[in-house]
Amino acid sequence: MTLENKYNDQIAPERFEIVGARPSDADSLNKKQISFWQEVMYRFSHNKLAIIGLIILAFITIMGIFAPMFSSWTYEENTGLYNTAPSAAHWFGTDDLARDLFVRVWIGARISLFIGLAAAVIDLIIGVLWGSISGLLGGRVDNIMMRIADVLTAIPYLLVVIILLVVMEKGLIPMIIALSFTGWVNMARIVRAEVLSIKSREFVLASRTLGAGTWHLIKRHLIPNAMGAILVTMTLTIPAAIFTESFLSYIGLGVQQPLASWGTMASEGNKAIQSAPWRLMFPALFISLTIFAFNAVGDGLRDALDPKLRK
Amino acid sequence: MKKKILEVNDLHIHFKTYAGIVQAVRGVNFELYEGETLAIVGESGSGKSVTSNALMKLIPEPPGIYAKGEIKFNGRDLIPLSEKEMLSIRGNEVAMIFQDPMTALNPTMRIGKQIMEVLLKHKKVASKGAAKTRSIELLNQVGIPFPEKRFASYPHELSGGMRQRVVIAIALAADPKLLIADEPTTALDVTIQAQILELMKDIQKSSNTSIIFITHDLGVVANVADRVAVMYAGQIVEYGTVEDIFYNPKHPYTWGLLGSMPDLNNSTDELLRAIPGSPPNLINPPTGCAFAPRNELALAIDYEEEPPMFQVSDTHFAKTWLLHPNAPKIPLPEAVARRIESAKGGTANA
Amino acid sequence: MRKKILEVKGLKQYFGTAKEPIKAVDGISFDVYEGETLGLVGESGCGKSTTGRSIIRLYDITEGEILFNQKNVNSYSSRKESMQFNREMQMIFQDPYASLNPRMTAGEIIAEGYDIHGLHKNKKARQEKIGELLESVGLNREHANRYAHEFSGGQRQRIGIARALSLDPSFIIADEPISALDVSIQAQVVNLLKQLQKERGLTYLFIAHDLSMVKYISDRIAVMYRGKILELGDADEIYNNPIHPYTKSLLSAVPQPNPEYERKRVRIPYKHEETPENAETLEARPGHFVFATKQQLASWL
Repeated sequence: MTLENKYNDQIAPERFEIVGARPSDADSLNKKQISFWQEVMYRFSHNKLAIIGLIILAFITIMGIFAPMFSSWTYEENTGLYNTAPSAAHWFGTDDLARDLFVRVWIGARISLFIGLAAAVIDLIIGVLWGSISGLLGGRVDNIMMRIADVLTAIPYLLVVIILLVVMEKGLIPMIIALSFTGWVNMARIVRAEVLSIKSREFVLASRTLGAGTWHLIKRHLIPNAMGAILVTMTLTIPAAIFTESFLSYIGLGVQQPLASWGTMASEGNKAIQSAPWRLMFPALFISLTIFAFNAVGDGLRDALDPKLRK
Repeated sequence: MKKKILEVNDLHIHFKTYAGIVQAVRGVNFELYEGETLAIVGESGSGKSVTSNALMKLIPEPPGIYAKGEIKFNGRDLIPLSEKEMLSIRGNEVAMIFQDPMTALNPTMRIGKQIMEVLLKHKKVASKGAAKTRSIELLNQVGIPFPEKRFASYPHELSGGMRQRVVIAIALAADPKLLIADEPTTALDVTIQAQILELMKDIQKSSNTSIIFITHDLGVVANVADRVAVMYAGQIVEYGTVEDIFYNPKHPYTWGLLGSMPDLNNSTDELLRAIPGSPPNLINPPTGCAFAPRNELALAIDYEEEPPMFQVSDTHFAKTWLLHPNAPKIPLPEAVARRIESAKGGTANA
Repeated sequence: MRKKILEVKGLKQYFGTAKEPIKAVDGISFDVYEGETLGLVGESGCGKSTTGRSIIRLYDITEGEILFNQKNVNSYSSRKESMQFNREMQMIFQDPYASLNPRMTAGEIIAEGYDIHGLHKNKKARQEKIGELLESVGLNREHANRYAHEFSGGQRQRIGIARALSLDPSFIIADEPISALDVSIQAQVVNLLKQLQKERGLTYLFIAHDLSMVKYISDRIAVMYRGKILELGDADEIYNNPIHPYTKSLLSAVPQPNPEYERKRVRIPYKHEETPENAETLEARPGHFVFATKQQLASWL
């Protein structure tokens, strides 16, 4: 047993003077002052897959914005070269109307990203408001609001979209409306679940005892604390929207010629799969990369926000 | 001569966190003999739970690191053992009871089956039939009424106190020599707590099991412990029999703990003798005595050099410079002295 | 004659359905006098927390009357009156980790009441008030900009107390304010509460299950069991001369930090009996009330 009674006899007597407590040492806070979001960013930045996803997205966004500006051709211009394979002049080759595929892919990027973001933003506004009001008020209001949401999702999604697109003219705006018509329900359900769990937490009760009204609670407590779930849902809604848009365009319900959505390009490319495989390959590649990247970022965000993994 | 079951020597346990390396346990020494109960008392951040988890090598590595020291169970150091070797010891020779009975039991498995699992895994019985019989015996031993019926219950069908009894039954199933109880009654009501403590003492008497009891409640310590180790900031600061600690405490932190509790025999309007401040950050542990910044009786040397363990008697040790022969003779703080006087002199209340 | 700041009459709080109600609080009555601390003790499920939350209007009550400063709290006619109530009665919560919004700084948490009631809109005046409150609970002014998760449990509880004090209440319900804290921190917080009571003339309803602490801090104690108050009286009287078997059983189960005492202590188990229909609140001794029938009381005395 190493509990020996050894000690040094030769210690100077002054060292045994009573000096007392040092309160400042005793009550200090952690020197590092990190806010919640800084912690989240730290954890996110250590997730390799999420960073790769972010880089891919950054690349696609930048190219989507700038590549068409600096290109020698517009997306509908006839370059005179029909169905050529990728070459020094045309990095992604040309299609059967002699259009440069490189510039078309990046136009496609603009369209896909725009549609994805627009759908997500509408989701956000309607879904968050719907879910938080429903969750907070509870009772009959909650019941009615959620049953409306249930009815909307009970109808087959594709059917709704197709009917809407047939009724309205095909195009970009109608596409966005069709995608968000029932898309917000997912966000509403998730926000409602978060609100239900947050509203019984003691800090919300404390706010109520201070006299807070419904709007104050939603603004100050419910939404900020649900923000994590909201962000993750948004980030994962975007690839779903992009995929659906690509699919709809592929079956002919999407944006129309000469606008180039990746989906329409894939559809055209499919016809020439034997003779000009690059016409399908490039749009398909970018659809996959974009969806993968958004999913990686969304998953990374979710992991970074998970309170159980904190410290 | 009582047999020594457990010997912990100079145990150091660190954790790698993104803020730095946390030295959760900084040189802990203690022993445990057959049939006795050692209470490890401490507050949050003292290292008591890390120590108890370390005894069964339940600290995840990474981020945990067994930086130094030995944990000798029946003479055999556990630290170098592989996970496979530990599997034959855990649940078998050493068993653990945790704080929260809700999460310690598998909610999807009937309680009888959970006990049988242990018996079969460690080959304590010859057949499933024998396992069932023994399980029902154990349920009876821990005081569960109608054990044959309760054998088929799910955890959620039982109350908190009942669940903790089942947890104890599982822990006892393989006849362990050492039982580690990590705050087993903290989440329970005071009357249920009393029943569980009585149960544990009965079991100890009948099976001669050694118990390490981790808690922050000094009342519980006085009830169950033979010997006590008081932990602060990752170290044991005072160590002795239960009488040593309660009637002759020598470390200012122990005085502080005793002074923090209301003295029900001496009703005054005085404020409690609370210890100001909070425990130190163990990422950069202080060089001297860790308790000094909160100690109004701290000596100059307390801020410079860590005190060694001084011996007060055969059984009693304290890690404070106040026990050095050159240190000033400081009497017990009044509130603590008064409490000890009335404790030793008077008898029970109510 | 001491003024009654709170009167609870026949409070019932039932949850669940009408056919199978969960009777969390089943008809309790008590008064709280200005300036005192009334301790409400009981084990889990007895209804003490529900009582506190019903009084402060976090729940709508099933039956009964709650009079605060002689006015029925459920009969406020205007939002103004309701807001005034919020300023006079405040609550301190149990869990220091759950009672503070993790996205807010200490200063924001403390000043939330000001936002809601439109007070101290001037930035400088507000900073001043926040600083004062932080200091009154033993924290530094500089801590106002720190986030909740940077504080220890005891410090968070102090922030919770500062928040409760921000609107200058006269009555505070403390719902198990120290149960989740370490022993030495409990002493700090209890000392703080006592000090604040003296300085500001506060009245406390102290809900807890730690009998030793409750006896220390309370003037009078009410013992709750399964939704009913079984015994009520002065703290010393209840502790030294308990009458109801449940109270006796509860007191006998509390371990004391005294090994000699613990060796001799004999626990008195309590066998649950349904309280008979005709049980009433009887005054067994002056100021000492027991919920029982006359025959039961006679047999216990």
